[in-house]
Amino acid sequence: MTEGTPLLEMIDLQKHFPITRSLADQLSRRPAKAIHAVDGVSLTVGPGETLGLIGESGSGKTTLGWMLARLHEPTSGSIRFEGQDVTHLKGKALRTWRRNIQIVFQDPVGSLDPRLRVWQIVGEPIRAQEGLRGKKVRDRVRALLPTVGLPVDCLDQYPHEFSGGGRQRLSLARALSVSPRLIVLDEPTSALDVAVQAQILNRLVELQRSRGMAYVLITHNVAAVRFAADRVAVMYLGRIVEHGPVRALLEHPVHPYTKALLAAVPVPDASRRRTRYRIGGDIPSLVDLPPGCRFAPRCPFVIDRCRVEDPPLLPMAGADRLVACHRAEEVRDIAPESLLATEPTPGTGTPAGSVPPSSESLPM
Amino acid sequence: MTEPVIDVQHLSITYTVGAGTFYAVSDVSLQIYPGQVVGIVGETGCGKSTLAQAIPRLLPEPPATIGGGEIIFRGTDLVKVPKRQLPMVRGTGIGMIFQEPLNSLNPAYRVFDQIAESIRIRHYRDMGWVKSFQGGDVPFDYSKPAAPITVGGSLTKSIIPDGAVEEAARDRLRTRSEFRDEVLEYLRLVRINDPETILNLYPHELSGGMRQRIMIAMALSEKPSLLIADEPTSALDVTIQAQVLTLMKELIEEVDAAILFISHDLGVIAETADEIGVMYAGRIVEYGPVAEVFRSPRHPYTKALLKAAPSKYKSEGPLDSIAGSVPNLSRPPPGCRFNPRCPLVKDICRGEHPPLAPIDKTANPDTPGIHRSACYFADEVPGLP
Amino acid sequence: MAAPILVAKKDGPLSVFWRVLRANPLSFIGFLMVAILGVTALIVVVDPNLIIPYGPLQQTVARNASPSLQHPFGTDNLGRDIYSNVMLALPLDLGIGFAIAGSALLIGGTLGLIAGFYNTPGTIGGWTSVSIMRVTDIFLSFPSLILALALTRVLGLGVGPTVLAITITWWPFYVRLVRGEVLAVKHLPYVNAARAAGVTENRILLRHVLRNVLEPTIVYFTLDIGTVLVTYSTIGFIGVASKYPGPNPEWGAMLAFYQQTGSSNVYPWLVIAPGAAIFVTVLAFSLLGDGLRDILDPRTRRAFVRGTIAHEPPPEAPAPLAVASEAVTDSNPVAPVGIIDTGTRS
Repeated sequence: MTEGTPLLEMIDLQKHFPITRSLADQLSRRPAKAIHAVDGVSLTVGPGETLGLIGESGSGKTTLGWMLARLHEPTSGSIRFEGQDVTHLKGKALRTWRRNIQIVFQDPVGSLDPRLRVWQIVGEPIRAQEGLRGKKVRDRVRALLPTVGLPVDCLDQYPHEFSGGGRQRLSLARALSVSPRLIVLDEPTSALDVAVQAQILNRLVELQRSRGMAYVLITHNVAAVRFAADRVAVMYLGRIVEHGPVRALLEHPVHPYTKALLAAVPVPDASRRRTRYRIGGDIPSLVDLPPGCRFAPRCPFVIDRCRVEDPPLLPMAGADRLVACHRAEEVRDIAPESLLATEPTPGTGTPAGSVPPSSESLPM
Repeated sequence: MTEPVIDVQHLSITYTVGAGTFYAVSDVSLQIYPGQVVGIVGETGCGKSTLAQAIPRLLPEPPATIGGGEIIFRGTDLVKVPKRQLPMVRGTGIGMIFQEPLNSLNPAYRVFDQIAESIRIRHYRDMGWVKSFQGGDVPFDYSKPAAPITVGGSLTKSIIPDGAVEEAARDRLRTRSEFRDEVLEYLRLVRINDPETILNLYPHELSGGMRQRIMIAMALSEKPSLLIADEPTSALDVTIQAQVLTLMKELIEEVDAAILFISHDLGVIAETADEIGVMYAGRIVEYGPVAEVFRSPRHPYTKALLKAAPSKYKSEGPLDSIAGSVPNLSRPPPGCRFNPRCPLVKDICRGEHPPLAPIDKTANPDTPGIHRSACYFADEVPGLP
Repeated sequence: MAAPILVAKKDGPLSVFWRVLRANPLSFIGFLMVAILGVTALIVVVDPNLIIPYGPLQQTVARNASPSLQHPFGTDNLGRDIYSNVMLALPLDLGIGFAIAGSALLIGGTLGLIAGFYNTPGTIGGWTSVSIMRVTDIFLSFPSLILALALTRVLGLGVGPTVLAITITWWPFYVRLVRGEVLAVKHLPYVNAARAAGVTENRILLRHVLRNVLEPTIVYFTLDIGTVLVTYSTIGFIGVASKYPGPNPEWGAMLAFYQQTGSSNVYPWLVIAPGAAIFVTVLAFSLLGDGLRDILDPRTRRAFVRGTIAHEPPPEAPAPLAVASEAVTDSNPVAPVGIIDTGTRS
């Protein structure tokens, strides 16, 4: 793991969103239900390091990112920044601390106030944190724009005059304006074209090297994480299922969900026309989760124990890896490609996308 | 040699907005034969969605104008069809699957009603109640306008044709019983196990993958001759996208419609298409069989696009990207629109736009499906880094 | 190697204003009408003799005269010139409209901002917000016209008390309107972005929420002036507002007087003139209100800006950003659907 004091530590973070109950529910005295968006996550980020969080919808990665930026209050657990507990900061102390962690949002359209000009938007953190006004803010913004690849003469323009990539750069400039120690990047590439994604990712890595910032990169785009991250945590339904260094994890995934995720990524290879993806089932809702492993309903390697007992996140022997799977050792060497069948499944017999029958070469 | 289901010839579409005229699509030609899947790939602003919506004439015509060209669907030029006859073409002629099913499914109707409506439309067509593309190869004759309504004629003619009321009543009864079996059959076709359980659900109660399957079921239940899928999996999670793509791959084999598949993702196109057209700034710059285009791209843009997909680690150096940016379509660069960003650019590129010509100079240019490139220096592309 | 970039000419706000108005002919007409009304009202206040030949109570020789060059709207049975009365009433009626709508906007708008923004349950703000909304609901459950009439009974006759009465019944609509807008804006990402930057809650309210709420509110306000005017005239019609004939004529009072005394049955111009005056004023503000929406929103406002081509590349050579022209964006409502695959893919 990382040496020295980690920059950011998350200790058993949980975030539950209570579901509003109807009068009938309240009268019936059934226990209140909640959505367990983040259910016990512990991670660390070292200074200058990039932690990638991969997951799909419902994984809780966005909620976790917002908790780091203190836009959500954790239901339980704690966040430590440079060794100090910052979970319960309030008021002025919170506002002053905010300059250490900034966030770039997913939505390039909604995250910029359409009625403000570029220099006001990008300079807002400067104004809030350092109390500068007017011309001083403009000068700071003018100096900042080239570092994200924007021309200096666009200070007075409005966000809607920029393309998606341009807006994402504006959000990034805003986050950089107070020189934070860590930036949470929530899906920075998902609304962008491939070529622009590459430019933004290059820029992010370059800025990290020059400024020594850490990133928490939240995305479902595996390729972005492959390039930009040092360590990766895979999340499913509010929990971490696997965690390790990026190269090792992506080349030899252990957890069945990680394998399923990597196998699902489309590849520009014409022979894929004949492949069939064999992981079925939808991502279940976060309410009323069944006991046992959360991936059990869809897992191709499931055994009875998985449906009863929730696997804890444990280190693997002889590797820098944490995995939450009862069968981690047995399935560790099975490649993601085995989750892709190459013969067409018959139309009415075995429906495509269902769990493969146990007579396959997968250990059961 | 069968006729293509859809034959687009030199289609150009412009938008007129306050700030100017946008040449969204310029001189695009393509043909799709029955049972074939043609994929169109391109980035934001290349015009692929405009093209997809223009074919069934779904674009709002005041801002959009079809500037030239023909869209020949089973022998009839859709550009010349008068607007009020267009609904006959859509649905049972051309089916569409859109990107975000939450927007494309009516939130006020249950699953059963939505699919039943599609089946009912097809029923009307089959019974001849609605003029549409009847049977196999008979092109619809749009040259004869509908008889003009005279005052005398409208007074003596009954508004409701004879027997229509009884038919409608019988149809309503049929809806619940006969249609139900067919609806269930289509739901099973899109690999929904236990379809009875979702019949009475509303779209917002279903997951994204389920909604997309229902959209596919709706489109297929009308048995269209041409299916246009506009980014059908882009809004789905990765694992769900893989499931839906697998479903589409299997359906492609079972259904013999022609399919036009639009996506920005080269991997998705590789999984579904037989032939691929790469669009840039409103033009097709390369076209050919998928395997060949990926293995040996002959246009600098295609090559750059294939390289730009991030696939390496940080330690291996920066990602390849494409310098410059997509041109402003109200003032496209002269000649080849890629020339400001092209590593092979020479003076001739700024003159006349290169034609989409076969890379094998000896081949007959009219052969369908042959590998074509719109670059004067197509032979030098394999030598690029 | 960069492509030429479409750069917006740095138009001043005035030329943008004219351009948008020209593009929207109806609102331009509305704007002209409001301008004319405003200028006329100003003249009447400052120097009435310029355009008003007779005093309001001045009796002339022509009795019940039809409209003529000397008496453009005719005279009543005592020879009072209708045109003069209508003109004299203009600044009063405009002033009444603005006073009522403006006060209602200020009171109701402020309450709506508070109720919408500081409404986390369990805090002081939460309780305040709930109380504001309940009081608003109570007021809204009365038919406003009847409530206003009842209040005038209590407060007395005359312009001032009637304005007060109508304002009291009017502010709740603004609370509802503004609160709804605030709730819609509150959850947008840019508000959270400001929070993440360390901006205080109060400043977020004033800087982000208020500005974005202001636009639909102002549009509603301009349309509302017309409604207020009609309400005041209706109350005047029922006979409890201004005194007519009197030194300060008012259109609704004129309508009431001539209709109740029966003269209008025989001499219709007596009511057509003040009625038309109300109609024209309400129409002017309605047309203007529609056009204001386009002017105030920076997105649609800029859509009408003509651009020029900047041929020199931007200072950063590999500047990958396209400062695209306005219509080539995702959020411009002028651009038709499908013009740009916005690539907003998840």
